Amino acid sequence: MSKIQVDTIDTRSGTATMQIGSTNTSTINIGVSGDTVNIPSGVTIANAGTATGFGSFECEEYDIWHLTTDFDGDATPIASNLARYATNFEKIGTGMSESSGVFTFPSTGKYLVSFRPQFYLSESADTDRYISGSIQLASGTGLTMGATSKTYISGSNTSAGTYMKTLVDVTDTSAITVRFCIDVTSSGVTTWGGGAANLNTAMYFFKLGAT
Amino acid sequence: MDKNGRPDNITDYLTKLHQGQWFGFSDDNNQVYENLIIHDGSKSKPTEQEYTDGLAQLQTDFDNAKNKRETDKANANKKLKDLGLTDDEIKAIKGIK
Repeated sequence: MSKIQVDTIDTRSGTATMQIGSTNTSTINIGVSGDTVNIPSGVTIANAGTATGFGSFECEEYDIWHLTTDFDGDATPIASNLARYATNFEKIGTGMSESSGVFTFPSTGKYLVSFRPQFYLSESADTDRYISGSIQLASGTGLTMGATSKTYISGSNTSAGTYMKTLVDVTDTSAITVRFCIDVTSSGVTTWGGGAANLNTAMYFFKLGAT
Repeated sequence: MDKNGRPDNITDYLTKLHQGQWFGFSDDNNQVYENLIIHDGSKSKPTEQEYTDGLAQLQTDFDNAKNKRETDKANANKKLKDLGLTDDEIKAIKGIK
């Protein structure tokens, strides 16, 4: 193997395109360990092939669950009538697991967890009905509040929604779980499910990266 | 319920029977009486007749309440006009621009 030692490689006068590698070439190495490859300002890299190892974001986990059936009053947590949303949606990755309202993460990592409940008041209301939704985090046997959001409904046949989200660092999938709760100040408030096709009260799980 | 809030399905009736998540359906794509399941052992499954009658009662209550609101509104407007208020004055005291 021979070695060419020059400071600059350039095209011949009148030729603008330089080709490195040709029919015999299968791998082109640039530099050795410890070197720096500089790409000056103004240079455009036009990739028409496959780029790997550049750290671009690829979603590893994304999942949506929802409440399928309406209920009145409190739920601590929402423990039944939960299902993965399946209308024009398909999870990315393994997806969440759910049992009696406790959601388990498929792998360790940092997850953005969002909760959007919707409510309806079908009774006459002399006073405002305050409603709060919450995301509770469980670490082992302990429960902590991950996020909460409140709204209120005033007057009959009115609706409201609220939205909350939190970042969960899942260092242990068997110990760290989440669950979703509804707390209303008085009866008459329905948390909307609405069947398999409707995304009225929903939970969203998005893995952002490693723990 | 329909888009006007009028009860029109089985969950509208069931949510008013008891608080909490005491019921569900074996097929969420088809939430009808035949698919009704009870999660809470302390609650009993209503009969289909109870459901039919209960929903009809909710619809009657809704319609009566709506009619009463409309009647009250019409009566209030008439009384205000009888007192000599113009339409613009009535709108003003109602906060309507």
